[in-house]
Amino acid sequence: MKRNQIRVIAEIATFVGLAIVLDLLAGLFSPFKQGGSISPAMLPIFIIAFRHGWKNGIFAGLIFGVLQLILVGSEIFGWIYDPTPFKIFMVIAFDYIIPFSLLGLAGLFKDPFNKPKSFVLGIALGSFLRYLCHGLSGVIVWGNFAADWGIENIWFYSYVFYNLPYMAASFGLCLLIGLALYRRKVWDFGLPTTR
Amino acid sequence: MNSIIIGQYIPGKGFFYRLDPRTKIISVLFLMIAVFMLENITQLSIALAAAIFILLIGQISIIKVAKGLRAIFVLLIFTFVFQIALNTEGKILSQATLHFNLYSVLAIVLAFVFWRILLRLGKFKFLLFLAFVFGVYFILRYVGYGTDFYSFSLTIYEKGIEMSVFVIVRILIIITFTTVLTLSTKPTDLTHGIECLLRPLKKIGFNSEDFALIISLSLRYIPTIFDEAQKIMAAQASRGADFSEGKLKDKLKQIISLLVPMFIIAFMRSEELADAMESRNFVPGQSRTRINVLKFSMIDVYSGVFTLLCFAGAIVIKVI
Repeated sequence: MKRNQIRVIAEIATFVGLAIVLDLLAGLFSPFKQGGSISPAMLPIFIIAFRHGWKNGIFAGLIFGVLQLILVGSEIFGWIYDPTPFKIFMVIAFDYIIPFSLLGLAGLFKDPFNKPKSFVLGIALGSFLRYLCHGLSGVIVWGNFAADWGIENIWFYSYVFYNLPYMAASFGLCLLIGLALYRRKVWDFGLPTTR
Repeated sequence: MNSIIIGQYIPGKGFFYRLDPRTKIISVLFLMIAVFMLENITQLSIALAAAIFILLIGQISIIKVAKGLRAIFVLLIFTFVFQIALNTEGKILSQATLHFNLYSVLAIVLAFVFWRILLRLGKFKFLLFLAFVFGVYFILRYVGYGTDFYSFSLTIYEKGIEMSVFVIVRILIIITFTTVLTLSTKPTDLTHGIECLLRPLKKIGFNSEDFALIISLSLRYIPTIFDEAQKIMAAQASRGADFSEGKLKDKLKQIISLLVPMFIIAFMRSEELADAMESRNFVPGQSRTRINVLKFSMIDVYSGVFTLLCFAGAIVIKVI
């Protein structure tokens, strides 16, 4: 029991580290320098959720969000037009803490390592919830940037124009790499899971 | 690529290095809220003076803070231009018609080539960029020969200038505060501070000790995993892999062939880490001792009072 708890802590720590590194690498190769980027960084969090259940998944996602906030996020507050403490709170909550925590809900599906359907559905659910959160923060906080692109409808701007392309691409990348790992049974060399 | 920096901590011995991380986190939060309550340029310039005063006390060079700005520099320029071009309130300061015709477009292309060549010299990049932007403006404004295939009337309003300066000064102040925090605090101390501040959440079932432990372990593992990634990439490059070119399908194959070994390495690392923790008798949930225990001292009181004064001042200004 104790042994498993230590293992879960160690695994969350390394996988969140891996997620941050994947995000950095994606940043180095991607054309965008700011804002959401196309990266497979969600995948390590999904794998934690699949291996150790949704509670540990949410914990790992939370830590990933907080680390991103510490390492890269602090500049973001300067961009809020007409910032109020409410808007800052919304950015911290709906751009970092909540969306990445929700990734952990991928672990709700049963037996993902033997049923490809659960695996795909889990990744889809996590990505979709994250997309909803980013979109909401876009509507509440970042709506004024819609005018800069000549778009009047803030909901369209946030949910379709800004957040959909990179989230769809990240989801596709996670799924593709996830299935490649799935086919090679990467997690299948004797490490126990604690679901 | 070798010089990737995780966090911004730079070792040193200023005032802020001796300050307790808990004080620093709370003070920065309050000062940021105070800055966001200010409503016009005059109040913001007082805040800017306060920020510079903080930098002087901490003996932190402004150049280091400016380096932190480099990442968002392009966005700063965009905000500035958009604010000026789109804001239509207040008095009209200048009105000019911008001509897009054969000659002006040719001149812009020439200016662009000239700018890129001068950039090769490697110095004064920022000044060159400014010169280029102003050059484009003057070309568009004064090269009016021939027929325009497009013309645009650029009107600059007083409010536009005011708002763009306001937004940019506010960004400068916020970034100064957060940079002082991250420059002078080790990520591990930062985590320790956050852990202490989150301790009350234990009542609703949030385990702040595990949380802080995992954050510091991850911070420790990020450079290690990054090194591994570079090793794998170097190994694959030596076998002819090319990560930057090729069709989308080839690129995806490359990415997969990079990520599969990275995940396997992460599993192996986590197993080793669990073994190391267990062999040192780590017991989850038990209270642990620390080599450096956080203690408040007199300087924490001084900075706390300073923060409170700033915060109260901002509230008073807001209410009046």
